[in-house]
Amino acid sequence: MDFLMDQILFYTSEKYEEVYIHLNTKFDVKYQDLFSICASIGFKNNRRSPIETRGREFRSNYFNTSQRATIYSILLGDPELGKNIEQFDDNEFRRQARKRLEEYAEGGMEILISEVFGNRWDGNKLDPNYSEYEIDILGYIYSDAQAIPF
Amino acid sequence: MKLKKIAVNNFRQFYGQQEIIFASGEQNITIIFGENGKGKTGIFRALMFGLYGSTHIEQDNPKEKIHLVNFIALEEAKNLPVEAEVQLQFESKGKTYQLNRRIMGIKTGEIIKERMSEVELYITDENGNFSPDSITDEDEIYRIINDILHASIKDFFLFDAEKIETLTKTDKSVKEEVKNGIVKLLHIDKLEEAIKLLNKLHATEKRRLLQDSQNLDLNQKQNEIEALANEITDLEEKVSLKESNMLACSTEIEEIETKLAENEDVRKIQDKYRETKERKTYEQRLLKAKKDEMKNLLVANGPNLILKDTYHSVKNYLDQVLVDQQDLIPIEVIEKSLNELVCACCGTNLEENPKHKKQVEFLKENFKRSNLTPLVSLVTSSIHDAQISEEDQMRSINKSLKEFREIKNNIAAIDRQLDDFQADIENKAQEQENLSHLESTLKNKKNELDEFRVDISKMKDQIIEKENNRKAKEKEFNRLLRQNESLKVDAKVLEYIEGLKEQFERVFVEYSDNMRLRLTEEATSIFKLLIDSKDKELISKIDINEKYEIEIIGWDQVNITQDISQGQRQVVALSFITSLAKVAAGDYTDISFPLFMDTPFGRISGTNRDQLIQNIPRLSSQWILLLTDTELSKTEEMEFKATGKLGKWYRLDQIKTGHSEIVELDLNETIATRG
Repeated sequence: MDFLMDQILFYTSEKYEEVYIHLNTKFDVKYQDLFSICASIGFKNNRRSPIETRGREFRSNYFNTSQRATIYSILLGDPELGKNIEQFDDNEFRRQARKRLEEYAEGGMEILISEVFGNRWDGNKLDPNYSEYEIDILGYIYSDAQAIPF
Repeated sequence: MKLKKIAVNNFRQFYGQQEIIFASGEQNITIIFGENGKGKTGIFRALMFGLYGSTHIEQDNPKEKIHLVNFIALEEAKNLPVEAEVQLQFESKGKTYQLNRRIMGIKTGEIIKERMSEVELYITDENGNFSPDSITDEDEIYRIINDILHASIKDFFLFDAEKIETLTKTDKSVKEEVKNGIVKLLHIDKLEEAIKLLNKLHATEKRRLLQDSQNLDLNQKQNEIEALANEITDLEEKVSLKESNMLACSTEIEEIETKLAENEDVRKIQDKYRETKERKTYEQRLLKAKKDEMKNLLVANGPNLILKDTYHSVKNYLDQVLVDQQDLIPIEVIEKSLNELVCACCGTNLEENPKHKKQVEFLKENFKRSNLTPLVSLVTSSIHDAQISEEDQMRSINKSLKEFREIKNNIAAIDRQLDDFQADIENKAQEQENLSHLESTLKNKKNELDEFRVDISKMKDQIIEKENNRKAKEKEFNRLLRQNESLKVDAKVLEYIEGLKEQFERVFVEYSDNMRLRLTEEATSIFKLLIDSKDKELISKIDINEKYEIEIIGWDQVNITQDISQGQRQVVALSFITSLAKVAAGDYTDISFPLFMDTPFGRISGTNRDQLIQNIPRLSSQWILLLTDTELSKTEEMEFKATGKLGKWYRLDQIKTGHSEIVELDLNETIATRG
């Protein structure tokens, strides 16, 4: 049931590969960490974008317990996939789930780029001289969590 | 091992018969003082020649001929042979050894020829019985000496100035020196050779395969791999060059600042500048620590905060799923209740209440473990944890964001102060012609230093990128190779060699990892002993990392290798070599071999020298120092005398070119020529 414990391959998109690499090497934010953040942002804002070309891969068993709970919550909260935990065993569901998560992560990354990175993203890579990306992402999440939903 | 005496006759610049008696016991320091060119290294050579018959020491170019027989004696002998001799007397494990080694030289016209002559070893055993028959067999002597101090580790105890200088650099040579030390200590040089050999074999096999196959795709991939490898080597060389330029630049800056400090007004502002700079460093490290903390907050709590609204509905749904499960009461609880006949939940006695007992038995019969339960529990408990700590998380993020901004503001304010001090120094310097030039050079050098830093960091990033690229291409190459049916056998061969190499490398890493840790520990504790007390707290550890680089780690675990002064770097180098000696000497509390150091103090500052002078004699059984006039000023002389450990005191006097005299001085005499 806990299918993320299997070694499912997740992909980031080639388009944003540089962001994943830069945050990993310079800020020690691992692929699975950034992926969880992006997927959550994409889901919350109901923004999905298909991945055009696949980039870096990582295995789902790298997610820690809390990240697995996050990912499962996204799947259970998804209006189309529906609240049905029984189907976690179903291969077709797993395939769809992976695709859905990748799309949310892509959508979430688009939001990060427009709302957080701004001009520091030149269309290909992040400004390597800037050193506070992790602070800016945290600041964004904080103010977003403070905003009262209407 | 205890060195007792060395006598030289017509060896190098020591014309005629001369000798040095080494101090030991309570007063274990021997100082041989000589200005440059007067023969300090000649003493070191004599020791190496005496013990191992070495004609060359590490700092020599092995291809160049080194003459050991005294030139004046050769000149005087006019076409007749001259014998140079080194007699060495030392003790080990109760036995006394007298080792005499000779070399014959002859000068015909301008040509000097030298030939090793006989060697004799006399041994006096533990009971004082002298054996009049000498051992003259070279191999036998080699074996005996190696048992006492193995040639492969001799460099850890007997080191020349060059080695100390090498270790103070930040370039590749340090890595090699460190790795070499570890290999020698562990005697794993054969393993290293095997790895080199396999690397070579792999390269040859690959080349052969490519030539035979004529496969265009493979050849193209290999060309790409090689091009990348070349680019990486090129970049590494550039980095190494920049690093040594950077080091030279820092040294120049230190020198200019010292010169500027000669002006009282400038020195006062410099002091303030330095204090403020230290405050800046402190704030920068706080900022770094705060950043790390915030990154952890982001990774651990970010997704939870984003999804906090979703969590409510998901948890409600999962709670319902759990209620619908058949295994609300764990089987362990049911079984315990039945075994003890008391309900493990409410304490009801089941023996007295058969109805209740029946109910529990019913639960057991109908128990069915749902495979959903563990997953549902995992998600709900994670959500539960996130929900109860949500307010705390928000508070701590808010606090961190505020603190982060505060630290940044502090740094900006300090920067403004630093600019002001800088301007003040400039103004003061402008007032005096001679200083104004220094000041502008200083400014340029500081700019240069910044540029070096940026360039190096950029190039290092490029190296990582290219390295990743190369690995990806290697993978691609292997995939193409496996797909090619006709090359199946060759692919297997390559795979086999690679596997073997990887295994050897693993063994190497495993062995060397332990040694690295041990050296890290020893070097750190020696460093703490040797460094000036004001710097003691600034540096927490000398780390020998996986790439065999020596890294200096600050109090807050930040790598500050690039930020320490030349003097501190030299103390690091001395600590490292002393730690090698300590590990090589085995599990003794002190190093039971003499530490023989040629010109070790170079750039070390006054206070740090004092620390070394006070502490090294306690680390080792004998400390023999070859010191030049700039290393032994009146202050150091006083410090040496104050230790009460100074046992022997020699000065090298140059009578004329090619003739130096070893002069023993009374311990009360003054030797230093500089103030």
